Amino acid sequence: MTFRALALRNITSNWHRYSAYFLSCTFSVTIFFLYISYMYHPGLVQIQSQLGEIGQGIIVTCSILIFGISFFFVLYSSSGFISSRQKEVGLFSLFGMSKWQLRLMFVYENLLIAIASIAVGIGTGTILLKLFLMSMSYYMILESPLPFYFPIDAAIFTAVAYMALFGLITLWTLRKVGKKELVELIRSEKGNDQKLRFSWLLGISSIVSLVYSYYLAWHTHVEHLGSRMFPIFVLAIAGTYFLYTQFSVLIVRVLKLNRSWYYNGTNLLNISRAAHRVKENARVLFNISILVAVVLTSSASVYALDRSMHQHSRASHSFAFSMLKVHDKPFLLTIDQVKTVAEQYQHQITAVEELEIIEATSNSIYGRTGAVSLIRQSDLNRLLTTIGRQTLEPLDEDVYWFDQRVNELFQGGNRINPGTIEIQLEGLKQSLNLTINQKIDDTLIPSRYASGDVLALPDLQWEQLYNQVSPKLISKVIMVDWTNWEQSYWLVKELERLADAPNSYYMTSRITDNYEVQQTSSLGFFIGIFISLMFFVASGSIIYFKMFNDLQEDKSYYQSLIRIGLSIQEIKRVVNVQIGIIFFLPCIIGSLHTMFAMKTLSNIMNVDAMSYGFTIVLIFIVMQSLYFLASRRAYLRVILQGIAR
Amino acid sequence: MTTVLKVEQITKIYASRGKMTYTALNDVNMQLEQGEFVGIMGPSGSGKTTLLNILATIDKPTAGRISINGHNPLKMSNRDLSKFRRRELGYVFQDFNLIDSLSIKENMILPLALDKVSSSEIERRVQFIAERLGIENILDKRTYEISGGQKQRTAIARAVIHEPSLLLADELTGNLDSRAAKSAMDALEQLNTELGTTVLVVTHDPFTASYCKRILFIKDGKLFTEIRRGSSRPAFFQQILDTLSLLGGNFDDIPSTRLT
Repeated sequence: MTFRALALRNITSNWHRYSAYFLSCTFSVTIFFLYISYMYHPGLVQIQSQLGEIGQGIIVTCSILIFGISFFFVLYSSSGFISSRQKEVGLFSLFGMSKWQLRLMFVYENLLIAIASIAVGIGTGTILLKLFLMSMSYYMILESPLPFYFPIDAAIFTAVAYMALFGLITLWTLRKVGKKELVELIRSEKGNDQKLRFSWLLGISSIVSLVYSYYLAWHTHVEHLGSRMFPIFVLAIAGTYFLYTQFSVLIVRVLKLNRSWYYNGTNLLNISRAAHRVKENARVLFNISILVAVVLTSSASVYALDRSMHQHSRASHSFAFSMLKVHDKPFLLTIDQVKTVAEQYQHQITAVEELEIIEATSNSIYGRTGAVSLIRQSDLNRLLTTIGRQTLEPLDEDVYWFDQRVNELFQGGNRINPGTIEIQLEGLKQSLNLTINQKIDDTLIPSRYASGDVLALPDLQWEQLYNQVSPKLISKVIMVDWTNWEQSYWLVKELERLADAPNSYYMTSRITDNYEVQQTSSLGFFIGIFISLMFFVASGSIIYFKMFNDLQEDKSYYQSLIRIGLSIQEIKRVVNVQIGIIFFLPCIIGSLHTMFAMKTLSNIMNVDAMSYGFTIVLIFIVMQSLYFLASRRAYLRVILQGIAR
Repeated sequence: MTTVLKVEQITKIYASRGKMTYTALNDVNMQLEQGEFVGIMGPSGSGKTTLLNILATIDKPTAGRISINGHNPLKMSNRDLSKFRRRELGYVFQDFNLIDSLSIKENMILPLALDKVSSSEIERRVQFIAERLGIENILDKRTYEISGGQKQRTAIARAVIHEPSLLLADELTGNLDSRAAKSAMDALEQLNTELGTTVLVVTHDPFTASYCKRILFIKDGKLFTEIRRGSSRPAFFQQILDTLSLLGGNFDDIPSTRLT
């Protein structure tokens, strides 16, 4: 048998041992390939050029980040994989294989796995690319769907980069091969359990510093962001580290004091072993927690920004599409024309509202002259009913004040909130004093057509003014709502074409007004998701390898428990706790960190980042649970193998 | 005297994937009375371990009947079976199988904790058993801090703390040096005489076997012969050696676990 044949035989006959390693390598190749071919898609390069230097920088940084994560991940899994095969190495050298022959064997094996995973990764990536480009075009509302292409450059780049990566890592891990004494290799490695030491001071201070960093994060606002950022990071990181190394042991010590609980059933096994597991794996758990926190925080931030852009565009236009008519310029299209085109594009018209506005000026709000728009209270109530809000009581004298500026993302300027507003109307000699009944922070009319402040007058008073003022001050707005506005970009473009008025002031829509902002934030969102996915697989696989490295030892442990009289159900429960801790503890700690970081973000920006953060955390936990269930299944199958019945 | 264990016409046939079958046990009958100290000896491959696994209810015979303290483990469901194991059986392993993350005391009380015995009762039993086995001074130590003999006595304590009706021991001196082996067997003998624990030991070490009152020899899956101890142990030891030479077979083999 040649060496190549031996290596091949090793892989094919021990497939279950190589498969996890192979699959995680393949996965990271797939993600990297997808990212590269997506980023260098000819259709997207154009959009990227709009992003400017910062955007370009972000894209390059992300490529490096993705590659960096996969480097450490492959390094970790490959060294873990080799150390799990120590006994085999020992046997081969017992039969007379030299150190260099052993290394050659590993080189062949890794070469085979590398080639296979690069090939399969690029193959899977190509299949996914089509799907991915489709969803991407849909989400980013591109001019035309991104055409499918086979990215030769990206494939070559991925293959070369990963070949180099695998080669480097193989060399790195080979240093260790053949350096240990034979006896040590053949003996199954027995984890020499050390006594669990801990210090009360460090244990308690870990919790104190965590809680204090949370407290600081919760109460951080823009003004002290700079001074607090550093202490929060240091406290949170140190707190997390000592949480695993010290506090875990401390809490177990405390739990053990309650004898009747501790001596009850499987608690005895769970608690003591959990403490050992956490302490032994403290560094891995710590690393994973911090990485989870970083990745969840960044993806939640990107998500929060993307969503708030979306919300902002939703709030700035209460209707999907609007047109304006002023005294000398009629509507660009008739409402029937709009309806016909909308139906062609499969959007159903759900509401049409018309509304007349009188333009006035006032200096009561800003301290200088600013525009205000006057509307009728009956029009207002009709509008409110249509968009599903509470209607307002019609008044005899006083007015309602709609402050349309609150929905703007970065609001500024000094505003005065007067009880009465004095308005001037062109063509009217004396000014008019209006008493404010209620100020409402909401946007009703696109801010392009009405000023930031809309006053709803009693019908009678409004009609008197309407007859007095010059017709120049009167404009009419028609507002249309249709289904599925997020996808109506092409419909609006078609309407503009029909009216022969591209980018006209007299026609506006929710989708076109926010198009570019949304595209940019979508791009950021997608990149963020990529990195998170990459990381998620990496961290999950690290846990998986950790688990399967101790498998043989664990197996004899569980088998002796069965002889002592644990039922299969109890074994399963014990396994749940043991694996669950490794899977969920860092996940929960990282998620907690994320939630507090999101609170800070909410404080800094006019965005409800907490709920977006919560969504991201929830998705992460669900995915982690799936990973947990799959690993638990594989683990239990091996553990319970050979146990009769 | 009550019968603790009754084995009738046990046969175990392993079928491999091909058409090959292998008869590990062939029509084995045996009976243990309350308080007996019985050994099973035989060359490797004779079916000792299979028999022990069947008695420990972790394997099922192809044919035959078993009754342990009046119960029939062959008719039990999985759940009842594990309950049965932790109430009626005690098991001592060659490699101790103590749990490293637990202290000596916690290792001992494992069967009681699994059965949800109250903590005051647990404390009482720990004291009682630990005194008898001479391990009361190491209760708070951990497994890597004590000697092999102490480990095996801890394992014996764990196997008897719930007062099982039958104590099964599998090569319990296999990993011990001669002095530790003696201390473990002395402890077992003491439990047998003072508490009346019924003990069944599988071994191929004549010294260990010489502690037994009765030894069953097994060869090629069949009971070969049975010898009983008179008053003197040295004489019995000689008798064992004679029977072994009569039995033939390879006794020098080292069980694979010894390597570790």
